[in-house]
Amino acid sequence: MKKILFINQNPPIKSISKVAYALSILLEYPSDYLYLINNFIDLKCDINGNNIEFVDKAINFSNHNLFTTYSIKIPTQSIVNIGNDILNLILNLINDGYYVHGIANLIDYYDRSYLIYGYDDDKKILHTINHVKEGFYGKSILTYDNYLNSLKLNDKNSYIGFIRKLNNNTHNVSILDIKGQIQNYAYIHNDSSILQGKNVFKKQIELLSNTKKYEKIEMKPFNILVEHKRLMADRIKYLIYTKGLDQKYLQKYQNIIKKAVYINNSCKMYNNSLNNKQIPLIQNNIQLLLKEEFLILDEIIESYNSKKI
Amino acid sequence: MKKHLPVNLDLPVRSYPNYVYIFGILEGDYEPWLYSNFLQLVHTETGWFDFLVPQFLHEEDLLIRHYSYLPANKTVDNKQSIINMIIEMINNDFYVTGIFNDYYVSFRPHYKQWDFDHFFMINGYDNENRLFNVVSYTKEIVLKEEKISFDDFIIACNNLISPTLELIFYKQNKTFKLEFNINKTKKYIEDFLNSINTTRLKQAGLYGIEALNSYRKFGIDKRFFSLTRIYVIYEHAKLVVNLTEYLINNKYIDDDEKILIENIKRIEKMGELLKFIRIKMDFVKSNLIFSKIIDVLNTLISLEEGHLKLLLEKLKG
Repeated sequence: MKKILFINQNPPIKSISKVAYALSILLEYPSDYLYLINNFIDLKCDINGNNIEFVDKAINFSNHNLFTTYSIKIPTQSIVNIGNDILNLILNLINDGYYVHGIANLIDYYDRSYLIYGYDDDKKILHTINHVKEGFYGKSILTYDNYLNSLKLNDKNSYIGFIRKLNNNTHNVSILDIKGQIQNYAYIHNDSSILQGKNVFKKQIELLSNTKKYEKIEMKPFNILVEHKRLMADRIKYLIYTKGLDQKYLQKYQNIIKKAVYINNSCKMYNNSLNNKQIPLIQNNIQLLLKEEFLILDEIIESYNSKKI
Repeated sequence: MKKHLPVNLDLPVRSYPNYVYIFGILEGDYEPWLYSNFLQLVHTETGWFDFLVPQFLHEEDLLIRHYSYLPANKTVDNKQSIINMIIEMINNDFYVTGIFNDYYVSFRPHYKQWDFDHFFMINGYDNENRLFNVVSYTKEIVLKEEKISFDDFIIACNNLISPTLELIFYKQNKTFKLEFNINKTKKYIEDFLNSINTTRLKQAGLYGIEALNSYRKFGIDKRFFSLTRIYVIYEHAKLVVNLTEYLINNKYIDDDEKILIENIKRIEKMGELLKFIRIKMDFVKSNLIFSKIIDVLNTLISLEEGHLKLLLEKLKG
């Protein structure tokens, strides 16, 4: 017996596991991509510049308009004792269309979280998708034994979630909502506990100055930077083809993507060389990117205001 | 193999299962702790009337808690996994609470006419005879331990009206001290009299004396007083009585003039009378009975208010 559920192994956001998993399940048909137009426009992080996230309207497994979710949380020791029962439960629920999500100590894997989307009982394997190594989100295979052994290495408690996509969704794109969110991103509107919009990467510039000698830069923010710009370009494309936005903004925004990719590559190069002289260059490029991006977004908002779209 | 975890079925408060099953598993004399924490009442905007159950009752400081939420209609398909999971948790001294459909439970013949999702607690199993020990309410609101076969249990869960089979596993956290707290008691009496809620559990609704008055008005308007909710009022009165006795016996206050003792005798009497008349109301449908409940309720509320004011004055010295 075997069963494999649909999985999108190339979601537009891979840098944040929980978002990547949700999109891997959600983005099945072309119309599902409309979720991205109204979402992931703004960015946020904590006051210290950590935990960068996209601002989205709950594109996650807790959203009961998008997913049906069930879960178990039991002591890890119990998983050891009734591992085969848990495995049978997982296989049965996959047969019913449920994906399986949780945390396990997957040896040699970069990320401890996983999403199981299928199994092959003849070969005693599970099909999973996750961050096998840094920067690589993709499919992998786990044997039943490896999976159960990795659960046994969890801390005190083990959590396993069962998720099924709801198919009754309509995707309404609100043009005014997009405008509001672009304004949120482009203009400063922090509260006391979080930073939002452009300030997220202004804070990253500040943090780069604190990089210690021979210390690597964390790549996650700079992967988010590229993903954010690519999604914004897709949004502009949508506004051009459906709402008559001027084509020139897409050409201009393509340059922003190039700059973001360049910054991302510069960070990778720095991590290889650990040459501190590269840091000011990276900071300067982020500064220029933000300035240029703001000018384009400001013009787009002006197009809204002058009713050109 | 079999295992049976102890349960106390003789409880000081037993109106609603969300706290009753928890009290049933607590070891030691927890009643003084109860007096400090079960003073507040709430009548929510949605019509719910109950004790304001302290948040910590459902958190890990009092209980060690785990759970399993699975699709109810797949219970039969996952029968052995679910049975083994329950047995494994009981082997680790966890009690199991949840909801099953009483229509399919053989020892609940009074529910044979309709589907009804009801709370239960499993506190043991007998693998050889394939039975679970189950504690649940009888129709007289009395807790009773029964036995249910694994098969019947699975069928009763598979046929839930709710889409989710919820199994909550918990045991007492023995490091959490169940102690009487005089400052908390004073604060909660004050909150009750001022009809405010200063706990961290926020629910939109009315509190304390206002909650009592609002439920009374609700009952009069609808011309119906639910038995369980009248039980809440009766049990609240009983706790006020027990608290007063505890405070006197442990010298937190004196009652040389015997005023408090006289008060609590009257509160106790009114509480018992209220419960009795409400039970009678199920058998005798008459306006007289309904008016009598309102009279007793009015007297009880005013007695409790006056008594708690005096108690607070004495506590503040």
